[in-house]
Amino acid sequence: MDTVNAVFFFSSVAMVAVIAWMAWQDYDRDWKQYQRQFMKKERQIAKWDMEQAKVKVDQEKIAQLEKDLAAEEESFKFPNVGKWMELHGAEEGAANAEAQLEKKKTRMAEIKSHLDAMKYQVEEARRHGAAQAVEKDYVKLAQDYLGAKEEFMQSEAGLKKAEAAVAALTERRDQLEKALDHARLESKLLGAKIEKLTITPTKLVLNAPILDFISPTFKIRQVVLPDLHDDYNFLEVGKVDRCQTCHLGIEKPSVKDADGNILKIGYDGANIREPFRTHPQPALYVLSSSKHPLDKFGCSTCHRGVGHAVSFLDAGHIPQDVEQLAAWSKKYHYKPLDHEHLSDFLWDDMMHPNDMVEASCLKCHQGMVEIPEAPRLNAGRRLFEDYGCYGCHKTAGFTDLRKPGPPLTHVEEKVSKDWVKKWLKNPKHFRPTTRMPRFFDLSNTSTPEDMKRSDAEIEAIAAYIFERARPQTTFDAPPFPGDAHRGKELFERVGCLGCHSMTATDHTATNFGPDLSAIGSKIKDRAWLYTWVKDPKRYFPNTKMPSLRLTDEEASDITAYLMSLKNDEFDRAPVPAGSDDEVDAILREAWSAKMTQAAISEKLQGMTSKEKWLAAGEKMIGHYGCFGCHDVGGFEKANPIGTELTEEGSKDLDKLDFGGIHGIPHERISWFTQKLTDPRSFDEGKVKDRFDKLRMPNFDFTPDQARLLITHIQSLTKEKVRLDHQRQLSAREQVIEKGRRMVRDHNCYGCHTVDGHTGGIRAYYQEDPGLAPPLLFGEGKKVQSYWLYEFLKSPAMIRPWLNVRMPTFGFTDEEATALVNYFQALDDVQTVYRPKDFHKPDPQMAAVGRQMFMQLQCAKCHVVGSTAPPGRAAGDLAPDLSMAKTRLNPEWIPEWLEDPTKLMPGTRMPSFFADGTSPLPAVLDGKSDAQRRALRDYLLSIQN
Amino acid sequence: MAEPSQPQTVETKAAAAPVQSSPPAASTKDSPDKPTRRGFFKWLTGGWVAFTTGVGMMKILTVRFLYPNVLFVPPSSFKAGYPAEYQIGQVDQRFKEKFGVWIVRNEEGFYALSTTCTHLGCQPNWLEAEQKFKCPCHGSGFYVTGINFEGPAPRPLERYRIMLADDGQILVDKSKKYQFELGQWKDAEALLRV
Amino acid sequence: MWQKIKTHISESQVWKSVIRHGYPDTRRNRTLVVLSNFFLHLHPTKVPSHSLKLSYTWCMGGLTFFLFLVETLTGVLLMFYYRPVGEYAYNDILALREHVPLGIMREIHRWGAHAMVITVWLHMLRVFLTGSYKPPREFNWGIGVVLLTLTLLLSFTGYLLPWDQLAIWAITVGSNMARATPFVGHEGPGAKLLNPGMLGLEDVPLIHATDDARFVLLGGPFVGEATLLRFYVLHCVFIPLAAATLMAVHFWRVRKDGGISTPTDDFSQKAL
Repeated sequence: MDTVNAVFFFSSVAMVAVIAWMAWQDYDRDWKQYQRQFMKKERQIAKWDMEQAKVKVDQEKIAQLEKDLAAEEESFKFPNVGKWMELHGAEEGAANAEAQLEKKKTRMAEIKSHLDAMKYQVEEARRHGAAQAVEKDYVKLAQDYLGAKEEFMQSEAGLKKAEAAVAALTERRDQLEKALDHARLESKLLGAKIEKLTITPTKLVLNAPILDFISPTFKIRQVVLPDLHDDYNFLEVGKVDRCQTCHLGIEKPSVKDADGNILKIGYDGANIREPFRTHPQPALYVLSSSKHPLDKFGCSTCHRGVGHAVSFLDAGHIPQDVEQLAAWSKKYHYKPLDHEHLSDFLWDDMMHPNDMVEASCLKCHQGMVEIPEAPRLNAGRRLFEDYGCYGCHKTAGFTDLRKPGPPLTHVEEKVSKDWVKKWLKNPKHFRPTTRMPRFFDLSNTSTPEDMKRSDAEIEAIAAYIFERARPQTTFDAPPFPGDAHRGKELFERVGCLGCHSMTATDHTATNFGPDLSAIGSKIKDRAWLYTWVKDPKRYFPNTKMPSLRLTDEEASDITAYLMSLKNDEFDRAPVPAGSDDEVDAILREAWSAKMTQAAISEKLQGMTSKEKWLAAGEKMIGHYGCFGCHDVGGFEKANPIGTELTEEGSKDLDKLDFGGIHGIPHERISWFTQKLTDPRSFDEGKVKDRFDKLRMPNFDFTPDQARLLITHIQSLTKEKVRLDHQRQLSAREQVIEKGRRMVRDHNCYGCHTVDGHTGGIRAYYQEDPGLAPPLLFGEGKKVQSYWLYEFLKSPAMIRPWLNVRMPTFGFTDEEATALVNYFQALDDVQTVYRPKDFHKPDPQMAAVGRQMFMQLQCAKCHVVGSTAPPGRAAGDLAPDLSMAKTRLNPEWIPEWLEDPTKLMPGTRMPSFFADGTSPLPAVLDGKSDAQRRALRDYLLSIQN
Repeated sequence: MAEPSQPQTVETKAAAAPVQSSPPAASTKDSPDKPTRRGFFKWLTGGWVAFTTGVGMMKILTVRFLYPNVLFVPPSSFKAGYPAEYQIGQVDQRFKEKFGVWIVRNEEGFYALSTTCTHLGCQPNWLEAEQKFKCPCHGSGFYVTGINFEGPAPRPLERYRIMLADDGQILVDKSKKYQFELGQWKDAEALLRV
Repeated sequence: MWQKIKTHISESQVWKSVIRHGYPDTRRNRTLVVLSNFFLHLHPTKVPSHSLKLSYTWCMGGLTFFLFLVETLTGVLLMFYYRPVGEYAYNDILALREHVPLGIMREIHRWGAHAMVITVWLHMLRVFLTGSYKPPREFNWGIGVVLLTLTLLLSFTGYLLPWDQLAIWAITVGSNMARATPFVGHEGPGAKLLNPGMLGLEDVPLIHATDDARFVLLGGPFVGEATLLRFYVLHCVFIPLAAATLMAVHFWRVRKDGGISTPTDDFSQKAL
């Protein structure tokens, strides 16, 4: 019996203990600690504010007010019985009036409700005919109601009068009280705030377990976003973000005045640590005045992670680097998922690391060449495009682009077969900056047997390509022998450097076109090169290379120069050669899936060696997907071989094969980093046939390039944001985007400064920027649209002293129109069609303008027709003003003259009319705008 | 916690006692193995006290369980734009649906009226032509000030705290309300003066 | 042959384990039938003839119980099609009307609910008129009153479930009564006294709109999705369980208090 009771006793005690433990576990949360710490900080700030407020407040004034008020109140007290009586009487009168009003109001309301009821009865009775009796009663009641209403309104007036009487007596007291309240208001409010931020015993009780539902100080804070969604696999659920439960200072930046003095302390100071720091870009995000306010966009919409979590680990925080990882494992027992450990965390929903958050921009900002304020994402997208990843990996948004590499359908005209083999073996050996990746002798194919096989594959590919290549055009031999020295000068002068570099190894140099520092080792024929520089489209109709309108002699010189550039080391390197045994092996392996060994042997015996090499070449090109980037004969309809990347950013972790790689955390970013920096490494330790091995080539991406590309890949998600929540481009913005695409495709930034990009070639003109290609600020406003259209189609000389030439791109009408529209949209100019001579210069004004033109010595810099200013260096000359009539917009000239640097920062044109002043007070009454118009009319009347 | 340690001492005592006394007392009639009346009640009483405590705690926890820690309702305070957006005499209905508030601008300033009828809690409608709030449930009517004048509503509509936020926008705080019949409409933050 | 099969079945273990007595043709077997049969065990062994007289009993208690069974059955079936979630609730009600086979079940449930309130009232009236609340039946009268309350609460909680405007506003109005609960309703008498400010501490109202009786009932400051779920659970689980338990006690007490009261009750009491 005793045993049973003891068991009962102990189990009951255990039950109590477990319940208590359970309640405590439920209560004890990290976020409460953070809120407590934050409260302390807030209190410190409020105290600081209090100090500031005290300094500002005029204590003397308050003391005076207090004294006055006390005196005023005293005046209603004992010795002044008369005044007291008066006030008392007035107050009583007001109270009576109020009571009276209430009585009248009740009576009125009562009669009104009876009246309403009777109204219904009357209406009912009328419908049935006999209504007279009721109507009589109704009319009587209506009279009563009017009377009651009258009385009520009178009482209302009475009350107002009575109240006015009281107010008249207490006027001065009320005013004093108000003034005092006002003077004390700020410190009173701050006092209340400090009190609210102090933990008192009452607050302790209110925050105690079980009782913390009444009025807890510490609460979960959240934003509910029903229109944005979390993907729960097969279900989209409205977002709830609770990040601010711990990130309490996120929308509290310091407020500063114009001089930078802090008016209100915020949480962006250097001493503030997470989780309390303010968002680093409050002007763009989080604040209600920003474009992405917190209560509309939440946090996890951009940062990803688990927005509804209220603990550090559940939220899906991701360390930025190894040090942070170490710190977190110590502080939060954070452990990354690796080969050995399954983790507790939700690895599918990890946040973006800070440098990749921009990946989230894309889902709302679509259809743009460059996403504003997202430099890393833009760089990643650019890399993806430049390296032609879309050639093998189908990716939505990158499907209409041309193939990234040159066509191989007539490659035999350009290079030799041996060069191709050596190039394939290791493209970077020939050109360290090339974007052509390396396919052979990588981490999964580096054994001697593999390398032997690689040479055979190279042989086969080269054999196939050269067999299928067909001559396409004829090439003209250079009519002059050419002078390499002159060619070099010309090359550096006419603008080739806008796209091509000559440094061989500098990865930061412009790389729109290939580096040409060893081009002589590549091109087999002078005639080919001569024809190419004169007219690139003849060999490659789709090329981005424009024509610089070189003369025969110029082209011959440049050809001579380029042909003299050699890479001796590459030239000396052995040519890879495949053996006949290997070609059999390749074919055996390739066919074994569908044929018996006997049948293969028989087939092989019936083939010549050449046939075998061609068959193997076709197989290998299909295998490596060369046709993804290059046109290859026989592969016109082949599909790209890579994984589609359209939704790669949402790919489940378990679909990424880490293979034999053990040293890295098992999460998405590590996988992509590994894949991009060593694409074949996941084959490590695997048993595979040659054809089964991974085949993505190595681009030798740097770690930073890899992170940029991953940012881009992470942006390719299956998340769909409702159309009305996405950024919609206006018609004007669409025109701009179309133009931007063209400007980028034709590398206008290589020479011109336009649309926020600095012309790359300007780096060569630091000593004399006057010789660099023009800056294109406000071009749409500046020039006439038809002129621009014609100029783009067929550039004419504007600045004869410049050596660098505007190339002929061979724009179609649509393309030229799109560019004109782009420049006009950039300046928010409406395209209007008007007659060529719609502005008729006023002859009188033109005469005045001519006079001013002389006085201001414009011709000292400007070329006018065939007259160039004497004695000036080429770099100091200014555009030919005889073209103004056909080229410049009449509206633009006066505006330009007022302040040229405003329209075009960096221009050398001096400002004669700054701030509406005039250098010539004698002309046209010294009126600046009239003078500018006169100059304009003169310029527009200069005949060409 | 203190509870577990106490029974442990009791347990050792209980365990120790038989070991000490059992060999000599094996043959005696009054064997200590047999439960004594006092011991019986000691265990049983302690057990029931603990059991009742546990059940009581569970009941308390169950009541606590019914109070959610997070409510999916719009926040109790919200920003209602800049004062310049409002016209005198206008009853702004933008915040009725989400926050249950009318913002009214008159000559004196702004006030925030609750859209809950003081009769039985329905939501009246603002009738612009008749310049009154009319409740569809039982016909209570309120002037634009919120004062009741017809129907069964016993008292005027409530007003909420209204003030200017740091950025100059109107800020309405629903956690504090002002009732006319308690004279609270005269309080400083029941009306935002301009 | 027939006999053989009959014996085979009636001698089998399955048969014997279900029916543990022979054919009721002897006195012993007849008694066994009554003692070992579950329904006859529940049912009074003796039924006074006056208790079958409709003009006396109106059969209102029996009808109420019958309606409770109808409500339980139809209610459980309706639960297969009804989801107590804001997006779905009203749609599911419409589905029952438009295309769910025998969706008329919902109408039966609804009319049954109305009828049950009526029969409960009439039952109470009959009990009052026949004086059946008098000793020794006072306790059972008390239970009956609680059962009446539960019936009304079932009606009230069920009212919200269609989740149409009528339901939402009716519950809004109805639940506003809870605001005025003494002490635990934030507009109720005494609620303002529950404030540490009364003790000279900070001014923190302990009972306010988001922690008072109405808040617990609604699961929020106004009728919303949480209310729908709360009312659903109360309507389908808590209140029916409580009612069923009390009904069991109610019926049991009817038997133990001497069966349905009769006009001659007093005499029989005296006679005993």
